[in-house]
Amino acid sequence: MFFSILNIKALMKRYYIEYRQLVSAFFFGDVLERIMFFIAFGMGLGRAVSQIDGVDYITFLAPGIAAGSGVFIMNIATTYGVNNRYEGSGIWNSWLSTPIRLQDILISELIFDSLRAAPSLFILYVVAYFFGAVPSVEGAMLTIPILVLANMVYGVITLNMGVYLGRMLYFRYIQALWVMPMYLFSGVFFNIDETPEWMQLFANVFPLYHVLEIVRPMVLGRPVDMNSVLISFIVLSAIFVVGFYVAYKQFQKRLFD
Amino acid sequence: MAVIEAQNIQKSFGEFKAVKGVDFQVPEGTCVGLLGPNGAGKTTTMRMIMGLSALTAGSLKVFGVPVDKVGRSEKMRIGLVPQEDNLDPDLSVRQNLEIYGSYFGLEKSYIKERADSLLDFMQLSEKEDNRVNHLSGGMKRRLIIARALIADPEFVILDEPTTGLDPQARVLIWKSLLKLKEQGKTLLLTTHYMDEAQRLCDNIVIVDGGKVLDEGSPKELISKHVKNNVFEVQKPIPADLEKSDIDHEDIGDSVLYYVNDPEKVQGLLGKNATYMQRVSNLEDVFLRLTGHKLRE
Amino acid sequence: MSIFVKTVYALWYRHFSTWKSMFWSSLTSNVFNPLLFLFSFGFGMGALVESISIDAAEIVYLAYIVPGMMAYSGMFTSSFETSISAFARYYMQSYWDQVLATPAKLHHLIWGEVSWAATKAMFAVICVMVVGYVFNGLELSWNVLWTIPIMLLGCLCFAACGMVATSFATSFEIFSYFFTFWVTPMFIFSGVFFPIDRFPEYVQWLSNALPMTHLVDVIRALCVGYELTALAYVYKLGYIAFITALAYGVAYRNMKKRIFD
Repeated sequence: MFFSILNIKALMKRYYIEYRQLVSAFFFGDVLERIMFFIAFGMGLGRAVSQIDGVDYITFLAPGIAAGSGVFIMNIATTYGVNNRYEGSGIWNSWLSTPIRLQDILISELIFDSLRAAPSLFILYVVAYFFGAVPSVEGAMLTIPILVLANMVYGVITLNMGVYLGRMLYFRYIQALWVMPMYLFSGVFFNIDETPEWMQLFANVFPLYHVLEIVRPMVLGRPVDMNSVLISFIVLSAIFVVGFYVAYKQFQKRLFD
Repeated sequence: MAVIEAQNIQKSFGEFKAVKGVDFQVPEGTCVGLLGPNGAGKTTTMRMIMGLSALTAGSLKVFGVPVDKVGRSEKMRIGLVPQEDNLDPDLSVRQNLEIYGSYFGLEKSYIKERADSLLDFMQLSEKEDNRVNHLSGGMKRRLIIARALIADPEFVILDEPTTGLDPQARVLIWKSLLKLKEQGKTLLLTTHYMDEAQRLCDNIVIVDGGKVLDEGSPKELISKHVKNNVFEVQKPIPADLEKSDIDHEDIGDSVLYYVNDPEKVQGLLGKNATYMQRVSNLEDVFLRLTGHKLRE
Repeated sequence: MSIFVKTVYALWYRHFSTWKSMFWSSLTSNVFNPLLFLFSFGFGMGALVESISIDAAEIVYLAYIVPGMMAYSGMFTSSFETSISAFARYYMQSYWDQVLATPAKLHHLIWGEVSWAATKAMFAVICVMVVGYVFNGLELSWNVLWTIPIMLLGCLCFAACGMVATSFATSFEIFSYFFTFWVTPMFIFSGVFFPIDRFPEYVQWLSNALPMTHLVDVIRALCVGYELTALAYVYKLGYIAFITALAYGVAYRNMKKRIFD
């Protein structure tokens, strides 16, 4: 097989030890900021915008913040985090001197960073629930695994961008030209259907938009269009597989050539 | 059987040729030293052996297996001590050994046993719970060597294991490497310290500019290139000496004369010559072969 | 020229010369970032929120967020420069040791960092103003000119606060607290995107403790032309100046202890 389960398990354990040590920094970074955003925008804009898409603004916002948070976490982890491991501390080199192979490292990195977001999503939903912003609790819980998978897609894209740009100095372009536009134009804060047509077309470029199309109706307890879910799932899976292969090739070139 | 067989291996980075066709062997149970100035291609060669750098041309076999086919079973038998400190900064000293051991897929109890004995072997037991950032340079090197030994490999690659260490730490590391030799392990070593090479290596390969200049045991190389004694004579050189056919090398301000019989030079020196006489060593071989000019 | 000014200028110039080589990339991101926010919030959100009323005056949403973005860009850039960037210079590149090995003193060093951070931040602020003007979110007037010295004061304040974080930092992870508990709250609870009077009273208390809230208020008053009393100006600017002095003092004392003890 392309991956070695044994190797992935060993790496997961290593990531978990690091996570346990830094859990408070992760916690504040991941969870608290999202909750602050949620409460501030939900309350602040909530009074200016009474109803959006047929619900209170804060209810509309909850799935947006939930789905959007992974984009930032995955970006930092797959650019700065990964670069630090293969250039800064150089520990990838030490791993590669053992039976662990490049593909095992890459997939473990993506899986672990994606999973890391799950607890913070849960906490965010709990907070949102107390604000009465979670109409369908089962729906919200079901979105957690979906969003973890979505994180893998965001992660593989920024992983490619990071290794292509190569130097930390350039990583802020990823933030400026990809992450922020995606966050601001995928419908986290407002309903894309009500924006000008060019903005609606633009939104289609971003995976976050497609993820939100699935996740928001689930949290709002509305019927989900299964056909569009299937299409989105296929497209996102294809992006992941192709993205992973390209990233693998890029890293092979960068590390071994 | 040879652990490493390198035939005409080459490596280019774009236009730059770092390794231009190197041949050497590392026979089982021996210690081979790869010596060369900075930029000679030593680290690249080491990385190629570990599969961390792809060959541009040539054939490289590790345990008889072509390097691009090297997999789990071969990697289990090799330990690498890299030049840079790439310990895992998020882990403690003991965790650095145990987690690294888990990458080899070894049994937990076995790893623990190995970690205990290696911490003891490298005199790190007292520091086992410290984060690695808090270790001194010497301790880090010792930990890196211990880490390379976690899976009890038959073959250990050491890239400048003692660079930047104080004399006490170097002696400790030499002792442990000699112990590994006694255990019958195969070692491949690069170093800038000729005394280190002379002390540890059975066979030495001198490389420069990506090519092998010569190889042999330290003794062979010394008697072949720089005889037993070296005289460093300041210019101006006494006329008698200058006319003689003694093997010599001009290094600018002075001339080096290499002889087996010291009296041969002494007789020609005259009264006013300023000179220094000593027993020749590997350093003289190295400088003679790779030249006296600074590289970088 | 006094030794103080000369030395601070030399330290400022060191940062300026490294920045110069990245001028174009810096310009691009400084222009692009506000553009994103203005488009997203101005047009996307603007479709939902057409105008915001302050003291019975209706303000178009785009015009409402341009001054907020000015203050935010200045705040973020100066905070980042004296926290993560300065710490990298101090900790990773041991730049501070090099400087302190010369006749330069710690006061010079901190002023060098702070004044440079404020300069860089002002560049970002001016980029926002240009973008805002081009997209009809900012009308030029004499009052708008006044925002420049006031923004400079604000940037010095946030730069000094960033130095406080750096003076406590032992690793990069610490800055995640600085951003979570200081920078992000100033982004969302200081009236950048919406008036703070929509929050419950206890949140408003917190908002009013943040210098950013007062800065946003003053800048917005000057840009969109609503009235603030003279007393309000004095009290708001005075508060920002007070925080600046306080932060500088704390940063200086802490750094002194850390470096020389």
